[in-house]
Amino acid sequence: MSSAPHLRVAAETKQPVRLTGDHWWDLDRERHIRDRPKYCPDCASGIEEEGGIAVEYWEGERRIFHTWCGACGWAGDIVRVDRMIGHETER
Amino acid sequence: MLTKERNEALTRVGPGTPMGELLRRYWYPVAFDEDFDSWPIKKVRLLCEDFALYRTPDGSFGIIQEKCPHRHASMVNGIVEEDGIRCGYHGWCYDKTGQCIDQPAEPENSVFKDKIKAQAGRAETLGGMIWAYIGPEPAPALPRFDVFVMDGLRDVGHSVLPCNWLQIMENSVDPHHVEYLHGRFFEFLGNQTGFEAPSAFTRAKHVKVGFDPFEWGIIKRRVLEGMSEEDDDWAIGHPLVFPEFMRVGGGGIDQMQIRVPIDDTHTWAMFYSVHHPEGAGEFAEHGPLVEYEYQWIDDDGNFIVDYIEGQDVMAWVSQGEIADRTAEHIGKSDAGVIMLRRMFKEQMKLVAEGTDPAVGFTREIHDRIDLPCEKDKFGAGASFSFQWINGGSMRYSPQKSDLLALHTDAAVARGEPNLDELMDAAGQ
Repeated sequence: MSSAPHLRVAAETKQPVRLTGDHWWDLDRERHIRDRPKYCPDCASGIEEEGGIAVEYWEGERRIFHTWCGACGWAGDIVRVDRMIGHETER
Repeated sequence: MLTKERNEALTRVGPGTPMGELLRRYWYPVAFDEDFDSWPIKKVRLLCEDFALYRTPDGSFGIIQEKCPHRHASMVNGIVEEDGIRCGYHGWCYDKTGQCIDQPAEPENSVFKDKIKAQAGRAETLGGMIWAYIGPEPAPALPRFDVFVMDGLRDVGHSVLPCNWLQIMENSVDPHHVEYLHGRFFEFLGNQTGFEAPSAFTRAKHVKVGFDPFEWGIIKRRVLEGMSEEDDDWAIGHPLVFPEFMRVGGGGIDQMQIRVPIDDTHTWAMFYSVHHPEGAGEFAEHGPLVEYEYQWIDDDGNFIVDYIEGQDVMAWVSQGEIADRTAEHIGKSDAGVIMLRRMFKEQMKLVAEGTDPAVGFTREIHDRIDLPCEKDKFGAGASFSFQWINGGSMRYSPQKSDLLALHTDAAVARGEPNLDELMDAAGQ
């Protein structure tokens, strides 16, 4: 008998099944929350401590955190990069 | 995706919460004028707090905490006086500021009453509704937005929905949902059950969307396939009006969608429409308002999704009482939602720092605040009004036939070409 989707995810990632949430995507959620920017790239204040916000959205393969710093007002997109790919322009 | 803490901060509206403090800087409609025709006191709930809203003999209104500060009996069963309201239990009387001005059973020379002040807000009438402000003094001006002061046939569908107000507001900066929820889904439903979905929505394919912050909120723009930036939908667009409205219009109908946060998990969702098509002639100033409940759930507990606003309600309510934004997956097309969340956080911070919000807020008295709003919606022309009335919440209006007649007569007076075709297409 095949296992339920949330059990398969847990087995692949070698992590214990969490039973505290009722969603199959709990592990995914935790990873995304862990990756969010915590400090302002401009003034280094804590994003959340100062009332700011970081909202994650996707654009193709890229995960982008639209971030606003409540301390200095800096706003911009912070992109997590796993692999640098360069393109040589035509000459 | 948001953290649990950010989601809580954006959705909790009770007293003492960051969002609750921000939202207490704004006015909200809490009743209709006609609610007071037979009894001068009504219980209302706003931002997780209960109040007694009352009309004094001079026609003005007051709003006071529901529970009497004496021994917490409900002021809703009180006695309206010339200058305030008296508790029905022991007769303590409060003026419109909440100050206790009489305690009949206390000794005649007692100053006890001077020490008692109930929580009171302000209440004013506008557009056939009673509006309340329950935040700190001095109160800002009640914004007299165009829809609430313009002449025409006024028609207001309303219902209390079991969900947080923010997920409804986020829908207002989400243009793409129109293409699927009101387009493809509507068409699919029509094909399955045997009706023709409104063409203005089924042909809406987005090429581009845009969002511009302005003093009253966020202007939402779209370019649909076959249209250009010269068309109303982009050149003018329509606004989310911070923090509780969305202004839309087209085909001689102007509408304000109002989302009153009753508490964390209930929203009074209203569609306040004014019908004044070109060619209809003059309307009486401040004419009567017709209000009614629109239906969104059937006897079996299923969403009623065969009309535009019913589809919206399905999307809002089915997200849950408070949408779990820690588990969402949003993309580039959700740019408006991201902008709105940031705007809320920016304004929450201003209020936390002790200043006024900078968006949707004014201390200046205006006769009328005109909001930008497209007139030729989706390029649908005159047929849009018929489609909106037949395929929207106005189908529940007790004056629906009058509304259709008004738009028909106006189209005839304008010499609208292909009138029969228009009405056929609109299912009339």
